[in-house]
Amino acid sequence: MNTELRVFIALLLALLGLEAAARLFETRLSKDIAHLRSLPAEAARLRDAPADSCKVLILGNSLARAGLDRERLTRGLQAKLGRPVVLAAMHPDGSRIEEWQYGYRRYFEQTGARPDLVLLCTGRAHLLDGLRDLDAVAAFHVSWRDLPGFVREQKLGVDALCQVIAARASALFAHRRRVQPLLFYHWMPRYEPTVNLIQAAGQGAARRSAAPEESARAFLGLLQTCRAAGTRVALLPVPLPEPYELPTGVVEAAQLGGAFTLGPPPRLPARHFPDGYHLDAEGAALWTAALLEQRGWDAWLSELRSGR
Amino acid sequence: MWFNSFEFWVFFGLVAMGCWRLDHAGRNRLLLAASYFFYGCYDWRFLGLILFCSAVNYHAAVRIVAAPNPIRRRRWLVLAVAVSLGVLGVFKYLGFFVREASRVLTWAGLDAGPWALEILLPAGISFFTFQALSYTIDVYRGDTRPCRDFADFALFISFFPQLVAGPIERSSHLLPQVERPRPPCDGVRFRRGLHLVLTGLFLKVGIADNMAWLAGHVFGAAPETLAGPEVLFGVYAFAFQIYGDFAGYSAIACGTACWLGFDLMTNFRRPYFALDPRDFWQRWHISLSTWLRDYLYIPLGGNRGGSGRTARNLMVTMLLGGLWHGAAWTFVVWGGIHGLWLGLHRACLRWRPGAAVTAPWLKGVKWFVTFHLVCLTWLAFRADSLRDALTLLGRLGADWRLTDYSLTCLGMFGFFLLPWLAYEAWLERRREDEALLKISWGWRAVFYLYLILMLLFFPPPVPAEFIYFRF
Repeated sequence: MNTELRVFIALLLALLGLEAAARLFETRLSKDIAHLRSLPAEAARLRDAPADSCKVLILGNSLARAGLDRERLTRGLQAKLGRPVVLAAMHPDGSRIEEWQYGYRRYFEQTGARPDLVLLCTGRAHLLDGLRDLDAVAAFHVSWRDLPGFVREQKLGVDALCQVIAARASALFAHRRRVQPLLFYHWMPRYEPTVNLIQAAGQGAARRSAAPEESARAFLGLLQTCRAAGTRVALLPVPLPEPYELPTGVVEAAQLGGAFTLGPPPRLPARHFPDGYHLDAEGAALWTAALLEQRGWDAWLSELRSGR
Repeated sequence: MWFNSFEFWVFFGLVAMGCWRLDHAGRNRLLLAASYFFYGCYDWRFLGLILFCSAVNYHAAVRIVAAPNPIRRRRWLVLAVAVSLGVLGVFKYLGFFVREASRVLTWAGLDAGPWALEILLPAGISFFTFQALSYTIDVYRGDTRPCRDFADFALFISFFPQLVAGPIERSSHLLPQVERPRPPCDGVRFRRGLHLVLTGLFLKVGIADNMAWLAGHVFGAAPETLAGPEVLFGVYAFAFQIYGDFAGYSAIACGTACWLGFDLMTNFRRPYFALDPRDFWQRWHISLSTWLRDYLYIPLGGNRGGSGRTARNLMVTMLLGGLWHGAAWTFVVWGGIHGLWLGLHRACLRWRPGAAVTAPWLKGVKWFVTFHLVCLTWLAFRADSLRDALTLLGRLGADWRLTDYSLTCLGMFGFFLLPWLAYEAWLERRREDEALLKISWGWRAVFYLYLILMLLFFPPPVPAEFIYFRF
């Protein structure tokens, strides 16, 4: 046999083996993938919830995962609503509005697992910045039904389209950006501070989309999807080490889409941000308690309270 | 349409399939159309420019051969050279000279005001104009016969794998391959092409783009804020960025051309293993260095006429070689340092002729000195201005502490560069560019798997464009 054919077959077999391994062990290798793969089960929990319960979905990223005390939140909402609360969550690492929009449609809207209330937990930038990994969004968040619309909406060129197809077809390709951070953040000396330094100096700017309008459109799209199904949306700005307010455009879009926007997050002591970004358990408890006490909730939740 | 994009490979696949079905003439027409489409993807407005350059040089060569006397022959040559250099001068250098003239007038007290002329630079203009020029000069010298089919000549100028970043091919090498039937992509060609494409992609995506991210930080920061090791490692990172970027592009160009039945010249031969400046220039951007040698250095007199004239010729060649890279003083200084260094090296050789280096330690010292002098020239090449270059140079000797950035650089060098350098060292020992093709298929498969996995799992944080497209 031609030796290069042997090389080619060996490469193909090796890649197929790795692909199989990626599919078999992906949930054991990454908590985030395990979370992504558990989303159908999360949706099923909402779908199968008792009719008299209020179905609540937490939508966000690691800020939401670390920032909310789910038990306290469930108890607080139950007290406010006067009926049982079933809580589900979708908070993939590093996700932003585009992942939330398509992921919500794929896992919840299109499977009939519509929540009564969506708590959209966000930092200042996640609803507006244009950072996008289109192939990752396509692989994990866009349903087959939404795929043609996604391709049209994102105006994908040949290159992006090929990446989307490759990401849908191959777990190895779809997960490719997870390996480098996994290795480098653990083993590369002082990698994290160097990345932060370079990004702060503007090196990361090249990945930033020139048009945050696309993200704003995705936000409005999510609100419209929820509104059409009678799902209420509350926008919860998560505390960060530095105080911030949501951009005016976001607040206006939220109003336009009928979402309830909580005021600026409380300033919490720096010790509650052990990694400089995410809240610790104590901070999460403090913020959850604080957000339940914020004014404006009661009137807004009145319809949910009556079970309508 | 970058070589490291899916878009390019879809395009290439379609072209290769089309070529497979056609006869020789049909293949050439398809390749010409594909090359113009490829170039149009960068900026369709410059398609007319490449067509114009092709037409002028084609016509001039025909007229040179048909000219009844040497004066007419010379006139046609001068016309073709003037038009080609004129195109290059207008698009690449006019803005620079206008800005510099404005500065000089302002400095002389003739308040000219800041003049600025921004002209869009066509991709690869330096490459295709030099390729066209070499053809006309070769026809004038009688080194090559004129092409009688304009479509073939247009393909020679615009052949897409090497159109925008070389190698700068000679008419005596590439044109016959365009004109005569080419060999099919058999097992040998497939093997050679695969090797070139995979190593080229790794050099570009695995090495150049990951180093670009590190180098960009040092050359983008305020120089006075940097510690000595940061500058040193930033320069190392740039040295491998530009090598990976350009050698990677050249390898992919040679690989894709090989699959289409063409043999392009080798443009890089492990340049960072050079032991002296002459050795470096026999390994780095070989198509440009030989072009400059044959069409500039030798016509200037070469090494005939004594050491003084040789040194002058070297300096002029290298200064113009520097300017070829771009319209900025940093490039001129880069060329100047290389010219000076080559001149000094030549003088040393005259002083100690035939002193062969055999001791390994001495080879090590020569390698160390050569590599660092090359890096020094990269500092001038990459800096935004001469002032920045000098400040960075000054910072090299200051504040020697290992910062977070320096430690990460060391880790990244170990991860990305060491395995590649070990591979190159192995090639260097065997003195064979394609030694990999002569080892067992199993080892080759392991090596390719390593390259593919690195490409897949370690893409750069920020993809960078090919540097040499701007030249």
